[in-house]
Amino acid sequence: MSVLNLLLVVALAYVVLLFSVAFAADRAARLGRGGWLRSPVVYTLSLSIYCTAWTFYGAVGFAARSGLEFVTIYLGPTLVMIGWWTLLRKMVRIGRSQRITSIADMMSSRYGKSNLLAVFVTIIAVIGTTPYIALQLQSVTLSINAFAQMDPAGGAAPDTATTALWIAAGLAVFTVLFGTRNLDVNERHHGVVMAIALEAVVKLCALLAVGVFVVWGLGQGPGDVMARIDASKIAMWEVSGGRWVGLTMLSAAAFLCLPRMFQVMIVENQDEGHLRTASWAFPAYLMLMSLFVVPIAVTGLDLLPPGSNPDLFVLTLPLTAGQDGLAIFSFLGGFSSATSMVIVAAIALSTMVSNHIVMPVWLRLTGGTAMMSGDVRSVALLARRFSIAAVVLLGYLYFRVSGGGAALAAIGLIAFVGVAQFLPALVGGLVWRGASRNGAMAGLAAGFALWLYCLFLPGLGPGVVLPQSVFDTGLFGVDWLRPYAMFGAEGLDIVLHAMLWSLSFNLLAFVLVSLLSFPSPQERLQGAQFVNVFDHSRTTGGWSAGMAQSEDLLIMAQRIMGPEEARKLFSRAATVQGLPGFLPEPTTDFIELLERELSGSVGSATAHAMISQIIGGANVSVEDLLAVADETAQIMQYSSQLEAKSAELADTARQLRVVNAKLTQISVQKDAFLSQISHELRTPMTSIRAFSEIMRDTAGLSDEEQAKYSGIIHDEALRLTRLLDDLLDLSVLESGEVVLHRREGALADLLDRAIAVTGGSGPDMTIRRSRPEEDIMLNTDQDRLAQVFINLIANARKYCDAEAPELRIEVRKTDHALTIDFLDNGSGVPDDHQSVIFEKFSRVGETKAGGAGLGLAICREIMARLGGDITYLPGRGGAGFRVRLPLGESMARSAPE
Amino acid sequence: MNGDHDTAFYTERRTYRRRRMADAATFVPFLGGALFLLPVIWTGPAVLTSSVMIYLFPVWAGLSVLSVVLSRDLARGDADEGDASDAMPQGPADKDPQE
Repeated sequence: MSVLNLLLVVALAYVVLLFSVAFAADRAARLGRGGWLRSPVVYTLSLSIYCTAWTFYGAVGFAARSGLEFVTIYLGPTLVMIGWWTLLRKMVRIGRSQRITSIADMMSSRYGKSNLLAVFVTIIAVIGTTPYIALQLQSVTLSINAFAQMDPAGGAAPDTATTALWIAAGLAVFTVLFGTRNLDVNERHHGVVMAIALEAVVKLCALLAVGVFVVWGLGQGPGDVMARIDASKIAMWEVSGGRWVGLTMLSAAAFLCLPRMFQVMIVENQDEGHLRTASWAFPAYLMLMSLFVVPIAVTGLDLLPPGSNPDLFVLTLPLTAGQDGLAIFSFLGGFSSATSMVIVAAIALSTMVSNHIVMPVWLRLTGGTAMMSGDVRSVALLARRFSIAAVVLLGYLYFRVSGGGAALAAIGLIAFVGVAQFLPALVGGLVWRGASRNGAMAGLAAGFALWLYCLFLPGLGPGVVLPQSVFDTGLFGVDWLRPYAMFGAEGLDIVLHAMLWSLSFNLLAFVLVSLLSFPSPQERLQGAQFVNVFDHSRTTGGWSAGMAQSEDLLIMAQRIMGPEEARKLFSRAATVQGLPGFLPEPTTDFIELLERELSGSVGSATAHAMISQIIGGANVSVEDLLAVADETAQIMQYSSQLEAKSAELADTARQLRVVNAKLTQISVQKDAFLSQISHELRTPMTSIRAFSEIMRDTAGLSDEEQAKYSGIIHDEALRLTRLLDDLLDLSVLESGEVVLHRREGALADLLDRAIAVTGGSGPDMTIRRSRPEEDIMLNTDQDRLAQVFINLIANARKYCDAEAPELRIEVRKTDHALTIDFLDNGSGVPDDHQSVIFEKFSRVGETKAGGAGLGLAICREIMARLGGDITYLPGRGGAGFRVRLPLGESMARSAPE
Repeated sequence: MNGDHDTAFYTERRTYRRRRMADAATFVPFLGGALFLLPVIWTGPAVLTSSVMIYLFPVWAGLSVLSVVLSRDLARGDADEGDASDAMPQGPADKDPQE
């Protein structure tokens, strides 16, 4: 059996072993016996996918060309790992608390769950990773060819394209089988991780075995090897300082930004504590991986014929020494390096492609609703499977197109610079809250464009994309735009040159645009949560529930997570809320939990979009708030109108009540008045009837008697007439139909007239006046005012019960009014009557002079018509009445002097 | 904390030490970077690749060992509190006069 055939058999057996390990690990994890799968050692070993075939084969080639410089590729990651406390711990914490599924998801999540950014990152990642996958395929085919050439049986070397196709197909199958078993990336790929850990052990052991063989088999121990190094062409330490520093930084950046590293380091991380072990174990792993690189390189240079490919020394040294077993082991090491990288890279990229490109497109095509269309879960899985196949196929195509010409290490570094463009936005987003989405986009765009122009496109060779003229004279003939000498930076190493310009402009654009742009609220919230993850590593926040329908959410969740899982999650949440059944209340907490679970399957942006479709955009936009505010304002306006109306109604009702009360009162007054009137009329009528009956029926009345009776009848008739006159007068006054005849006249004349009418001043009543004050001209209804005076003087005559009745008339003029007081020296009006003396038919005590009790009521009405009033003055010794006339109204003025 | 009520002196010392360990963990990558970049300034005519190897690999191994020590001291349960934040539950212990 030829070595080549043996190799194929061993390789197949190894592949079967990998499948079995992956299968067993998956099975163990599903049966809940996966505790040992999750040790920190497995985590550390899974990180070793950093060491790809480029490392396994290429590092020796690198060392054979440029000495110790290859080691910078490992120094960067070493520094990142021993500095885990500062940066990696934060990234892992964020990755776990936000259920991050990929580096694109991380950036999208940080910058306000922007899917645009995620798409951009995904595209850069695919472009940066495709050549890398091609590189792995190339290394495997090269190594198989190396066996073929060494095969003494002289078997024809298998066609490289066919070999690569078979490998690509096998890798795609493995990845689809074990990489898309679960939709939820956060459930982790136990099988894949286990297989990778095994491969990590294999490649380390293989490289160490070859190293030991070289040092102690081919050489005579370390001393001899050291001497050999000193004698080789790479003996002198003549590394360029710039490259040494630059490549160390570059590898550190790439270690953080490579999608596959992000996958194993952040996404597959099960426990933050695993970082603790990895922080020292992984640097040690890297150190062991590079320990024998230089010895192998110099031994290869020394022993193998000139012109041998130094990239394959790891393989060709044992082969030429006849150590077929070691060579096959070494091949397995390289095979492991290549396959593990392709598998993880395919998983990482397919997650990004399906979550950020396929799913959003599919959601939009199917009407944009998560509710209407079919099984999202199967669509997502299908999308991921196709993405895996597409990514691997892309790598294969790149391998075919590029023809596998370029040196392995060159492709590796080009890819490193490409993914390093994520660094400013990624790390900036973790430490700087002001970093904005627009800044991240601008930085990525600038860095990516410069990377394409300065490194990627020129790397394809002159004439492929960029014509030779661009290399010689720059873009559009502008000298300082030459791809390898931008801005006049002549003579720099091309990788260093591209890295310098792309990252500088990337950082500059990122910072400047971030400073100048204003992030959305969602973005600022996420920014705060990322930067301060250790203060409150809880949720991504933002749902105000209430509108969400639990059932709709369940239907959607079933489509993504699978019916079993979804029901479990929902009933668990219901139990936590203390509800029976399996439908929890859509509380904010529950919706946040659900969103995190879903984002583990379809990415945070998509999960957010799907939930917001059901909840109806509970993460309200400013427009929504404005609309709500408008609506509220309208409602408030409407209700205030209603309020006004009801107030108006209440007012009207109150007015009605008042009017009603008034009417009732008036009705009562009318009744009282009528009964009063009938009483007042009846008294004289009774007298008249009685005496007229006596005169009619009694014969023989004396003349004296006749005169007496007819006198009584006459008096009573007069009284009746007077009463009726008064009533008429009062009704005219009260109805307001009275016509006033205003005339000029002196107050003194008016008083003279009134006193004369009532009998003048005499012994029965002394009237005292003070003439000078009465010298006032009045413009008023003289007759009516006189009527009031007459009434008051007549009352005084009638009611004053003093021995020597006396009436004082005092006139006083104030600024606005003229008051005339009538004060007698009688006993006055008793207190309890003072309030009613102005009412109709009110009389005090027995009527001496047969008044109807209408006089004062009439006075009051007259004064009201004249614009003044009349009031009783209590506490003046006797009865006192004050007549008040407004001066403006009555045009009072002093008589001409 | 894990609820251990040891003497104030003991707790205070542990807190203090863990914080300094966190400081050290932040500092170590810079130290490592400086050590790794040191060969760049060896520009003499007779510097050999082998001598750089003899320098570099022990330094590498030494950093790993240092990392072992640091990560063991930043013991698991205290990781959160060891964060730069000074607002720790046992904050008053810091002002303990015995410090």
